[in-house]
Amino acid sequence: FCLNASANLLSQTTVSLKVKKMPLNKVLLEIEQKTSYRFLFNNESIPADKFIDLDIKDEQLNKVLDKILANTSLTYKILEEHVVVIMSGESKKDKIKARVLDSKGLPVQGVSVVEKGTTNGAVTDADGWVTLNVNDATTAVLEVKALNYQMTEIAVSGKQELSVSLKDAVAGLDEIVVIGYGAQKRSSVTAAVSSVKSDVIATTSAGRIDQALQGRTPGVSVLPASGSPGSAMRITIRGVGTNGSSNPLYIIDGVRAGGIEYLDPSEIASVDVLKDASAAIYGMDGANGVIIITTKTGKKNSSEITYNMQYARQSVGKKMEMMNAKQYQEYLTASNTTNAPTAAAAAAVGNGTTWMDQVFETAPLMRHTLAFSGGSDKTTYLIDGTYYTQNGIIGGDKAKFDRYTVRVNTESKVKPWLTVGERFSYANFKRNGIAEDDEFGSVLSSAIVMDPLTPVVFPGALSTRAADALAAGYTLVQNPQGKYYGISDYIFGEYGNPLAMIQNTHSGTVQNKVVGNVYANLEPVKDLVLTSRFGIDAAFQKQHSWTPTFWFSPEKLNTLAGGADKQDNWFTWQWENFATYTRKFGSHNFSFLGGTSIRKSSWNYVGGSYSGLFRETDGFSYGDNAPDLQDRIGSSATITTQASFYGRVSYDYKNKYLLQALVRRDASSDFAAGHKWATFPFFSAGWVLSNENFFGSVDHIVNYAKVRGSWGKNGSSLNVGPGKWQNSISPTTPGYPTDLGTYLIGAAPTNLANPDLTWEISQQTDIGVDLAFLNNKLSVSVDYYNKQTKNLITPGAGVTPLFAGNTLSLVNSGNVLNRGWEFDVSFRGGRKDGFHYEVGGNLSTIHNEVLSINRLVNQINGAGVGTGWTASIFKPGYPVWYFNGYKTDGIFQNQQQIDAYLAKTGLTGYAPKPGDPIVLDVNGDKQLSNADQSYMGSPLPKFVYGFRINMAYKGFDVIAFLQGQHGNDILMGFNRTDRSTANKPAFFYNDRWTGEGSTNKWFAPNTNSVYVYNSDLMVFKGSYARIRQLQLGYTLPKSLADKAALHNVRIYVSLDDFFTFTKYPGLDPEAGSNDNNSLGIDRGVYPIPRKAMVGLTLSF
Amino acid sequence: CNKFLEQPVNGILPEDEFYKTDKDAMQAATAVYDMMQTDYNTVWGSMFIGRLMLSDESNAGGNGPGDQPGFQDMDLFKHDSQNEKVYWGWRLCYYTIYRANKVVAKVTPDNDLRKRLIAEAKALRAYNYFELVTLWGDVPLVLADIAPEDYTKTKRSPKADIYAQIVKDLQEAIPVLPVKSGYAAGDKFRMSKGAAQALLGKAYLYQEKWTDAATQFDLVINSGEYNLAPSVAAVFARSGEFGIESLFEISYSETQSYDWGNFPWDKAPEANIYIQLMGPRSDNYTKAPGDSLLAGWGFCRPKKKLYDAYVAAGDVVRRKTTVMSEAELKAAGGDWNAPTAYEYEGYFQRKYGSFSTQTNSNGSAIPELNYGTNWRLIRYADVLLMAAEAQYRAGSEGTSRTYLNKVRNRSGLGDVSATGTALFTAIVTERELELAFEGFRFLDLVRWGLAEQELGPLGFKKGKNEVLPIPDQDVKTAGLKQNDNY
Repeated sequence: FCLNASANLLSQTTVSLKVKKMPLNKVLLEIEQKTSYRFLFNNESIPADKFIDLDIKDEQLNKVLDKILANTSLTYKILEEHVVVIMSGESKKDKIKARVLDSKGLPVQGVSVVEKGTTNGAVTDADGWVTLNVNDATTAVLEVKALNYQMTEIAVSGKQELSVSLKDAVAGLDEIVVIGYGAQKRSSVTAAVSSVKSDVIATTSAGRIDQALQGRTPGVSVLPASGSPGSAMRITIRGVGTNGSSNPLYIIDGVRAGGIEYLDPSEIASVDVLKDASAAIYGMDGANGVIIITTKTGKKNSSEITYNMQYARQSVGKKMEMMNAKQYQEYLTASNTTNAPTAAAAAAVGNGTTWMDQVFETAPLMRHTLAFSGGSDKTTYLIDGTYYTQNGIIGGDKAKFDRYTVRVNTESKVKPWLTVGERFSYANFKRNGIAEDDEFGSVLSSAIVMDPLTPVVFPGALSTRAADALAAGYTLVQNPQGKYYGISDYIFGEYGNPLAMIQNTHSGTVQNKVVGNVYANLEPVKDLVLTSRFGIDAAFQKQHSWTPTFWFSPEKLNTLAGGADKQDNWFTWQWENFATYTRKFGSHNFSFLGGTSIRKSSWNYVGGSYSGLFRETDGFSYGDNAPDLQDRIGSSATITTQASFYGRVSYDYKNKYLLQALVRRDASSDFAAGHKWATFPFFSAGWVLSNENFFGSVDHIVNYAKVRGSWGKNGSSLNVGPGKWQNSISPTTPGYPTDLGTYLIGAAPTNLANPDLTWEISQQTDIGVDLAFLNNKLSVSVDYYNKQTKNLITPGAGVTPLFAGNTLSLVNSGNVLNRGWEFDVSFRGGRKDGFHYEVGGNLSTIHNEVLSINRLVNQINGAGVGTGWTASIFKPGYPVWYFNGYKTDGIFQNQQQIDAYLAKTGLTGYAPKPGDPIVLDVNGDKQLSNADQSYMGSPLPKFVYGFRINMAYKGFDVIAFLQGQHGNDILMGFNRTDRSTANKPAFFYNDRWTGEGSTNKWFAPNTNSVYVYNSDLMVFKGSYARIRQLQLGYTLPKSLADKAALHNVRIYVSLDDFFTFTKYPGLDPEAGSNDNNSLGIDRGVYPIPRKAMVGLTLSF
Repeated sequence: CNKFLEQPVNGILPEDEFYKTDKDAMQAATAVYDMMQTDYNTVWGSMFIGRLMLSDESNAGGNGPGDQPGFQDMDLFKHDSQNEKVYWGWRLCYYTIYRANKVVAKVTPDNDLRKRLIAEAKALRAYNYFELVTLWGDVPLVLADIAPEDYTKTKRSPKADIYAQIVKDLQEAIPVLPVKSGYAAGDKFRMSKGAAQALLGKAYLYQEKWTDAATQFDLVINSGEYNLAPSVAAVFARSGEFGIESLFEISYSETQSYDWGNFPWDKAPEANIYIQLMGPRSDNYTKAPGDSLLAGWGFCRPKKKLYDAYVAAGDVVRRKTTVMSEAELKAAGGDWNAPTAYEYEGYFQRKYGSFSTQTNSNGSAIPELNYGTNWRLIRYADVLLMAAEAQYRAGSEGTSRTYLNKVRNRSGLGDVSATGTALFTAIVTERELELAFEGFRFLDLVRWGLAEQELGPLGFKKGKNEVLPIPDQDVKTAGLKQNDNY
């Protein structure tokens, strides 16, 4: 208990008293009787000639004391709770003078100097001087506190004049780090925890909190699955450790949440990431790391209104240049592709249609947030509302994301021993999406492959094909002006006119979500806090889509308009009870935590589809507007329950030796009896060398030094579901058709049982150092981590031999290693004239390797690209889901070279032509087959990094932030061997082999060879560096702001995701697939838009 | 707490609570047929089509060499152990056997219905082991659940053991199974006594047990249950399904009225999408006005060799039922605009034709997706020809000729009077012409020792391609020995 708190206690007691000319000592006794306070004083020191007149009603006790002791030499002090000592002031006080200087010996103004253990203090003047009356100069200790400096204590030791040197504070050492069921000062943390605070989040233009984390902390990789508005982000912490979901666990205000898409960054106070095994405090699903999000609260005794707005124009950064009509025609003809256009047909259209120009548009993005916050002595509140809207750069409002959120956070101290509060948020968001990330005819892949000869709309007469289709009664899509969209004479299959496809897209998902909790903190005795917290995460989602009739080709058509609806409901409740006991014994600081948690999640859905819409409009796109005949309905429901016990002990000795140990025991209903429970331990230790006496000799070079280490285990049941271990009899629907045309329902086991299915476990060791140099201006953190994920949970399909007759649905299969180094460096500098800057960077290396897989298999096949090609593989000795294909070694230049190669290798059944790639017989069996497909690249980067500069001068500030990754590969997966007339990027044409000696890097025109399209020729370097943010802000001078009754006004302009440096020739090196086993496969991704933005922040 | 951790799992019925009632038994047996329907349907993994690829009746075709590379590779005998069609063929046989095993092991033969269902399951199990043993040779003999720890202990059993099991299953099933006419309407799809006898005869034939084979075929022929339909076209017409000539079919239906939005590509559709796959490629084909052969996706393009075989035999009726030339198409008013289309030799397949009469275009139904055409797996003409072969081998040339001529006469061809090797050659030719595109040609050529002669020019390698490779997954997961030269 510090003194301020005690003074506050006094202020919480009020007194009513009416006396006239009463001696002071009597007055004190009167007050004693009317309050719970006892006064200790020596009667002799109370002046007998002091008579008091009082007429007070409900006045605060401290004010009363101030009043009656005025003009005496007496002061008062709280000894312990409810005991106030009245003592003689001046007589025993010693007057001292102290001067506070910084590390360069310059005086520091405005520093608070307090006599330790008293309220007795003052603030330094311009020359750094302060004058104090201390109780006893021989024993007094001064506490010197100032922003950006380390707190210092100095003994007066009887001196009358002394000077104090302040050390610059190590950045962030005092910051509070949330570690799960509690918080620690950064200086006491022994685990690898990264934090991002609201001031950093506030500067980002991101509409999603996960986006705001991108590149901010080492070891945390945030990659968008797509650049389409509202699309999910893939967060991986310290590498991909699994072959299922590698999503971290999200804890929002203590409650586990299914996702974080419903949060607006403005609601967030801090994001803390448990990267090492300290995630074990959340045990069961901490294997992929834990992201702890704390939302904002109001401040006591304040009131504030904050308004933010942002407006941006979004556009595509780089369009992929595709072949023009002439190049396309030449390429197809040169490659002997069936159904190539004639030269005359190509010449007739000039360059033809540039589909990339046609599909992209500039699109607006807007965000408003309004927050009211504040509080009284006992109660704080925050009411926050946000609106976010973003149109897509492809599809406009067909790819739109809208979100409204409302949050109410309040907390009240109901009794001195009881605090209750709640944190609730409601969000409504709607996402429209167009098809992408699919080489089978999505809007994006159609825009890529559509031939340049096809017009966007037929300018005049329809083509023969289109006219025939129209005559045959098919629907050709018309644009709003009534013109028919172009129909290709060359591209069929799953593809269609991308603009017509966008127009035909009617698909939206709306989610209503309520997440929050109510809690009570009880402090029955000093230092012991009991917390009970009940939280919910409820989401109600409705998907609605419909498809009009259309005709693009005989393979891509719809002759009857139909729609589908799906309603998903998720509801989770979680109840946690835990106790925290913090106690100091001399220099030994202990903190104990123990608690329980139970959780129940349920999901259900009902969905239906229907066709034969009466009218092809949004208004008639519902089941009631369609005939009954083809209606289909589906529904399902699942429940998972979890129960947990956990405990933690933290200890430090003089903030020098730090220890922490914790254990969590978890159970999940998703496992079979005997495998439900698992135990997750964690140990860590730290040593602050710079607090040792011997460190003094080097502390002018190294100002701060801490080494720390940790080890522990975590679990994951993310990739398990209810009943997955069981086998089960399921009906076959609609059954088997009999000779009467009716159906007989059959029933059989759906899968083989695996009662041994158990938790996926990750085991991690972390060793780290935190250092500060240059008067603490430069801080450096380095971590080494080694994380092994064991018992990986894998779909059993690739593991069960086929002759077993059915599949194990899930098996524990294999171990994955992730290890690497993380560096985080920041430097703060500035000049006296007000120029401040901070530069920082982080870098993490990742070595990812599959160590072993289930003994039953050599490899697990991953994603297919096109038809018949397994493009990603999970195999020991390689990175997870590496790219698999034919290896090539240059281009055959002439027939002699081919003959020599065939003679040398003995290859049979392989007849390349000059200009074809030289394909390697990897397994040496003298024939080229699938077995020769092997490692040809990895989607995982060797290292990822972020770099930032903040500068401020007077009211201006500049923020620059760069993020990137290096060493990953991208597989260009939108080219398919079975769609040979598909258009290709222009460099396929420009770089092509045109004859002997022309190039040894790129092949002669070829549209269907697996040796080209299923080979390393389609693997490109995916390294990139992206300037995420370049922001210039101006904050109104306080004098000016005050005139307008505003606290703070900042306006800024920002270029976000604007500049990208990469060698990848596709649309975007960053956007990747959401499926783990399709990472880095570019099937036609929605690129990340760049944004030119203006923003405003107001508070008053 | 433990109670809290025991939650009901919806839609999960433990195996121990099934296989108890008559209804359970009926559903369990239906599931075996259902898997066989999947067998010929899911993920373009039909071994029915796979067998056509291995024959000299057609080229793979399609859009180009990258279209369904698994089939393309089989067509060129370039298939390896990672071929996805080989994988699915093998897989679906064993998945069917798994379900049949459940019926045999778990259904108690308490009444006549259950006894019959068990017999059906045994016959279906035999059918699938026959498929396995003829296409892969030695294969694991799985008659019950295998525990995961026994996966790697399971070995391939010699062909003789597989055949022994096939014979055992059929011999046990035949006395119990009703004759075809003994089944009520709606149950005609089931394994009957005749179908089981024909299959048993076939199993003997493949083991060159000629007399035993002939005996079984004669039981079928003399049963009075079957006869030849008026024409081959009638057999393959919609009305021919489960008709007089039918012994065993896998049933498909057009009644689902699939459209592009709801076709279950990832599951087992009830319609036969392979009919669409085999239709003349839509990019290039224009239907003749009076014809009902709709456009498809251009697989299984007939070889000139097959067309020429009909011409050489003077077999006009069956030729027209089986193959159509480009000239015939154009003469009828249709068109084909891509003379150099991939693997196109100038002919279109009509036996399993993409006929508008066999699909559904009502309401939302997309014709391409709704062919209800059944696979005719055992039909009477095949039985007669197998009987002819067995009788010839057993020395009864007269009976052999009688059976052979029955088949020929039906298609307007005269009697064969050949003897000795010439008679055998006549049987060979007759099977080629009568049974084209029915998936028997490759297996026939292999057992007759003619595979190298007929298929060698197509890439067939003696000592290797007589059997398919064991799928890589089972070599890798269970350590099965690979077939030679794969």
